[in-house]
Amino acid sequence: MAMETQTTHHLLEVLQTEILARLPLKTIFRFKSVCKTWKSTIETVYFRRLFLSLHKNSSSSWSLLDGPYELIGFHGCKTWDLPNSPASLIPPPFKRYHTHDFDYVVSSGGLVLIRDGSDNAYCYVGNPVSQEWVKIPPPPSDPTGDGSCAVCLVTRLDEDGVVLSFIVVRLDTVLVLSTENHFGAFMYSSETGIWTSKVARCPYYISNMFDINLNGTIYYTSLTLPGVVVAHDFYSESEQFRAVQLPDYPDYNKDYKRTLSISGGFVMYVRTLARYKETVLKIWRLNNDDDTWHLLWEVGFLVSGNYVPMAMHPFDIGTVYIWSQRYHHLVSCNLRKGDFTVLGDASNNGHQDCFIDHSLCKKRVDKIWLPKLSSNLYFNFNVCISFCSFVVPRWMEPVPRPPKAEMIDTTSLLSYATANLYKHMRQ
Amino acid sequence: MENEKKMITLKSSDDVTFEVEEAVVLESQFLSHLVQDCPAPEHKIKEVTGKILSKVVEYCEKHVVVVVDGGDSSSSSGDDLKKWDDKFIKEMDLSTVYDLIAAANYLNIQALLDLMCQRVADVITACKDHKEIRETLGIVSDYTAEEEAEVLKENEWAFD
Repeated sequence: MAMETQTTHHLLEVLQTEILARLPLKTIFRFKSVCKTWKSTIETVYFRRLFLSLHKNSSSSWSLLDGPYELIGFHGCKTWDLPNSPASLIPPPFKRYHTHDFDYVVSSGGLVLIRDGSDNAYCYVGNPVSQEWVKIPPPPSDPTGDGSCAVCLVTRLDEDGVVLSFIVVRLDTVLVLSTENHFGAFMYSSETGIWTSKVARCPYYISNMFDINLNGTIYYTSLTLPGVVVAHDFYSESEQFRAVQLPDYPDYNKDYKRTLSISGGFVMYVRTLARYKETVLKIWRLNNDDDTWHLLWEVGFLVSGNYVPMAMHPFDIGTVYIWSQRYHHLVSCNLRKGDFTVLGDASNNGHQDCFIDHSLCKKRVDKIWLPKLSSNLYFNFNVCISFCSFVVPRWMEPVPRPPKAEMIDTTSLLSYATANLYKHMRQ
Repeated sequence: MENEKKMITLKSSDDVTFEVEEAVVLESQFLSHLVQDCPAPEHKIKEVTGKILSKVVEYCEKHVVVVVDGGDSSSSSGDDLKKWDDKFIKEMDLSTVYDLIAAANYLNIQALLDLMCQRVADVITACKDHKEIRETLGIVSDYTAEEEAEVLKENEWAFD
């Protein structure tokens, strides 16, 4: 027996990877401190891949945000074992929007960009889960930061969805010409820790800076010309926005409700149409290499009464969330099976924990998709990207640390922000 | 009926014998190959003790029966099976779990291996800190105090 226990202990070491990969991510990180073998096991690529494959079907943790405000939040996720929804991880003081305060701007790849309202020079990029923040210095050509404004954050991910690097974009000047617009921007790369500048030319005027971003590329839909999406890859050398025509252009039907969303590593174009006793969902995927659209789904669901597309599931391309303007509830549609579930229903105990701010959803949705009064074609081709998903990635690495950059934890950042606010209030 | 089923005898390292139906043996990849390649009526498994082999046989028998019976109402028998699995692992001490992991790995029974690994994973999850894990699993830390403090600080967020 003694012999056997000894061999099994040896075997257990071999199988240690198998056992640890079954734990939720939070537990895994907590127990890196057990011994060196555990830590080094956990930090291998093999372990990460095994973890991802074992947790492929477990629920994920993400929120749908309207600016910083949470419309929908999925928590209770087995992959992470986080107690709350992701949006609540973004410290509330960053969502107050007082003058001179620290404000949440945007998220990308699970990272968040925070602006310092009292000192334009600095902004912060961090991971609300691991609570590490990078203090981003001002561009040398705009040392006070008063000439430019941090507007976007893009990230580059590897095939497992791990953030490899990020770029902070500060908008410097927008030059509106008769033929095109010039966007002058400063870009800070986490790889170099250096600011560079570029002027990106866009063939259309962007009337609304709401964006979605994926793998370094930013997408805008509110343009002077309907039926087009413009995209720019901040990691590329290009100085041009790409214009991508929507696949159903010029199908002007005032009853279509459209949105852009991100799912399974692709940009998705989602459109709903209310028909007699059913809602038809049509979803196209934007191919990354040649900017062509591929029709993925065309499925009718037996729900009626003006459903608008809210978002697709960030990881599962077979799930889309739609909101009823008539019943004010959220429905999760399974595109593969063609069935659906009303979320937040007490009877629906099979579903993961889900938070829905019904009154905020109603308010925001009705504002965007108001009954069409205008016969203006432009408004009939409105593609909404007002809502933005904040997704906790399925695996976590430390926040990319730019050379010479100063790192801060959430507690210090918060106390600094509060002190700053009080200072300005006294003045 | 009984006579139509082919019976196979398994003998543990300490010479405890188990007579089982062939279908039970087929749950194990290793034994399937062994039975195919060597049609002897008795197979000695030198690496597994009688105590552990009895557990393996118990598990495989339960899972075979359910697969055969579960034709009409597979979901309810799936639930029953899960309940049975839960009870099966709950009664076990950790040293038996380790030995079963080794046996499941050796005999190549993936479902049993999954179940047992999950059991250890649950034990680890239930521990409140690294010290408790070390105690429970009998692991000796090789960190110096400074190193340990550094790793703890890096992953402070995970202790909320």
